[in-house]
Amino acid sequence: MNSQLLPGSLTVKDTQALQVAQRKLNRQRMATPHSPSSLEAPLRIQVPIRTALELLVMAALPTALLIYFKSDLMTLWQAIIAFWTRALDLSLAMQASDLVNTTNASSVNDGSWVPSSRSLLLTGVLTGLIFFASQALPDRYFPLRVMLRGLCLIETIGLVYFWLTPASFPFTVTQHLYTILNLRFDFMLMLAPMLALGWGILNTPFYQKIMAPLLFAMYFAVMLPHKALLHVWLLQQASLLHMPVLFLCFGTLLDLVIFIALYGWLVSTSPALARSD
Amino acid sequence: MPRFWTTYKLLSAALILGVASALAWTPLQSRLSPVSTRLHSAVLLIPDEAARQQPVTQAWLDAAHEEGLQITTLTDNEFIQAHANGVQIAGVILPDSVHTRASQMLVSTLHNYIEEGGQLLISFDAGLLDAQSGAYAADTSRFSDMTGVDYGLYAALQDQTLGLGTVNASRTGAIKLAIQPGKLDFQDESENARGELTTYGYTSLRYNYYHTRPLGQPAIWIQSETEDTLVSVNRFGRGQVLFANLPLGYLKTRTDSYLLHRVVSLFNTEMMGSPVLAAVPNGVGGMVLNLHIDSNAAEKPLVQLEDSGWFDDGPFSLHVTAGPDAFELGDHLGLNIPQNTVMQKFLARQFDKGHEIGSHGGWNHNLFGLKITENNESEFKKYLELNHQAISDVIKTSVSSYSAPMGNQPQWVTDWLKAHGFKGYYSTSDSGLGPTRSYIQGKSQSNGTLWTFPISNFGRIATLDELEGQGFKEAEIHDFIAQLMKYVSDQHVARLFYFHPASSNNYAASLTTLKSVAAELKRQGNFQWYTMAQLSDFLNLRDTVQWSIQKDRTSDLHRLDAHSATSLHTMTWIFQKKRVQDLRVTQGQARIELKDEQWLVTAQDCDTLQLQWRTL
Repeated sequence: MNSQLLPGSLTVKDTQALQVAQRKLNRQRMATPHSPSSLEAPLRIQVPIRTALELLVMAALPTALLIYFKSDLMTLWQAIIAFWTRALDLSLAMQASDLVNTTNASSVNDGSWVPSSRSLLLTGVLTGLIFFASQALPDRYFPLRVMLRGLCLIETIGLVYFWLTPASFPFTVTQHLYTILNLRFDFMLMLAPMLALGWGILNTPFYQKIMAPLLFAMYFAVMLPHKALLHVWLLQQASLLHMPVLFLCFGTLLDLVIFIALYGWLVSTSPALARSD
Repeated sequence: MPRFWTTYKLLSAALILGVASALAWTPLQSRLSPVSTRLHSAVLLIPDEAARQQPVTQAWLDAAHEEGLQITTLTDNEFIQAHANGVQIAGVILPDSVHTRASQMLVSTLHNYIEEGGQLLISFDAGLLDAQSGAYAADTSRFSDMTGVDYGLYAALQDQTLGLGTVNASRTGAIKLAIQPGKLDFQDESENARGELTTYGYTSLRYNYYHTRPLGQPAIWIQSETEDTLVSVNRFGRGQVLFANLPLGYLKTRTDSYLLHRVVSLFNTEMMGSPVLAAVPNGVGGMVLNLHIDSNAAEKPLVQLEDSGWFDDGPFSLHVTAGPDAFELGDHLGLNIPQNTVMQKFLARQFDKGHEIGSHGGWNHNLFGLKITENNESEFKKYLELNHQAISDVIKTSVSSYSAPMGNQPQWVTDWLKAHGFKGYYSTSDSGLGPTRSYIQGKSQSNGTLWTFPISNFGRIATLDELEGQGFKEAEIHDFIAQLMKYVSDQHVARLFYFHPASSNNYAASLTTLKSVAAELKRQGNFQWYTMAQLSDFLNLRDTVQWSIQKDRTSDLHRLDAHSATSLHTMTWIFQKKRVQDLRVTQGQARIELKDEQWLVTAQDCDTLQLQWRTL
């Protein structure tokens, strides 16, 4: 409390009561939405058995379905990739079974181009320019500056690597594709548990708790192979030089960011006072 | 703070400009350099710099140089960078033993290179293993699709992955690989028969190879007895892959070079089509005729040969065992050169005619030939020196060629030859080759100027005296001699054939064939007798010639530049007529002649030569 009483206006007892009330108010401001009406909400979370069962079903059922239908999902991804491979005339050949075992990744000519000296030069100059330009960004764009510099750092490491020892670069376009698709499947397995823990304990209808992760999974099931194909197309148009940036910054990390964005949207659609009791 | 940031910006800018300049140097250089782009004729891929010094690497390079190819080594990084920068490479060799590991990046780059029209020679275990783990990289070789043959099937075959057996060439394969007469033993005359590769003194030659399964439809030239593919050529994309399923480089380091040389030569003639620098003066093929004069049994036949005019031809290479004994001490069956004025005069006459007089072992033919080992140098070196001195005294010149009695030549003898300035020596190893730098147990036997002259085997024998023991009739070997002489003439190479004059009366027909065929080929200008010293001197001079091939950036015009610190005289470049047109000399002096679908360009007395041509 910023206002001050004139000396002599409050008794000691009044002052102590005022301080207790102040502390309770502060705690209330820190209370989580899970129990907004309880001043002691952060200290004790009550999860009824019904809610716990709903969480378990919400986390386990979609995950179990994904595991059960993995081969069908891989076949779907292989069909998507085959379609766009023909449409875009990409140098790529893969089998659905290979998505399970990346060590069998085909060694056919898959457009794995090593950057030429000219590419290295141009990319180096461009990276330097971006790095410098980020310096000129106002302070309110600090996160963007950090991100740009992070990208520049990864690209610079790639430049040095391909300049000094291109032969030892361990990944081809095909292996990149297989790896990110397998990583994305593993990521999809985590969707339902993450949603369950983050959104599932809100007081929303049970059918929504089943449908949301399934819809998330369906979205990613279609989006992920297309994003992987975009990687392949970019790598075949440019060179392997950009694989580290694509893998580290626009791979699973981007998927996670997309998930967080979708999660945020999902939570924003929930009733304001939804609670679990 | 502002001053710090200004300094920071300046330093960052300087760093970026420095890195950009370093990265830009290569493309800037090529833009500023003359119009032509350096064209590698052939590239031997090695995994890293350390591999350059390995014996198998040197063996591959020696083989390519001896076959006349322009070749250089590139590490995997250099090759990948060159390919990314669009450097044109006529052919890539992925050698066995040295390059067993290969990264997926190298495999992909090679795939791209072949698809774009490149030519690849891959040998045995090259690239089978993963670069990181050292284990088999896949269930089948990553080059199987390019070779058209599944091999390296470790996952399926485990300890049966490798086979051991004979090497058998089809008749077409024998022609394609230019395998000389006598090397293949065809059991019958049918067109479909396969000839087993032979060598001197061994009933059969057995090699390790990977068991194979058909994948595509390559042209198969050589197979194992179980019909595994050993040498094949497959089209892949716009290029071709020559697959040699034998450890060729390793075999060369173990005195078995013949197949390596044939495969390298095939790679150039059938696939790369680059000109070669001939291994004989003026591009004229020929033979070293090596006479082994072991004992006094040769004295009378030698005189008879001289009286018949035999030694009016040549020059030949006469090697003499000079001591008084031949089998054991005190038997007095040797020539005893120091006391034998007849033989002294004979040798002096032949030397004056131009024949080469050399040393055949150590004083006592059989004692030396049978008894010397790697460990008794101190006991027998004196016989080597006695023999050398006795003959050198007669011809008043230090002897410079040698042949080992019984073919027995321990390392210390070779070291002694090097130390005494010898130029060449007869050998029973690497049979079928021309003069070569041989390797024994991975170690080069040459000091740079000493050349090995392997015998030319006729099946499992190499000379006239051995006919009876193998059940041959004389007519068969003098057919072989005639065919061999025609072979060296057609191929513009040199080979060695030897015989013992002591048995010359028993094989008069063969010796007549030698003379008559030689005379006819000489009359055509296609044959020459050579001595070991002559060829050794020529080959050492040839080694000093620096030459390269370049291609104009904007057209199909090729240029060959050659330079010697002394003279390019007698150096000859051979072009496949079907590959070139408008061949002309643009600098220096040279004679251009067409022989049997080949252009021979022989330099005259000049130290610089430049040729230009267009590819067909």
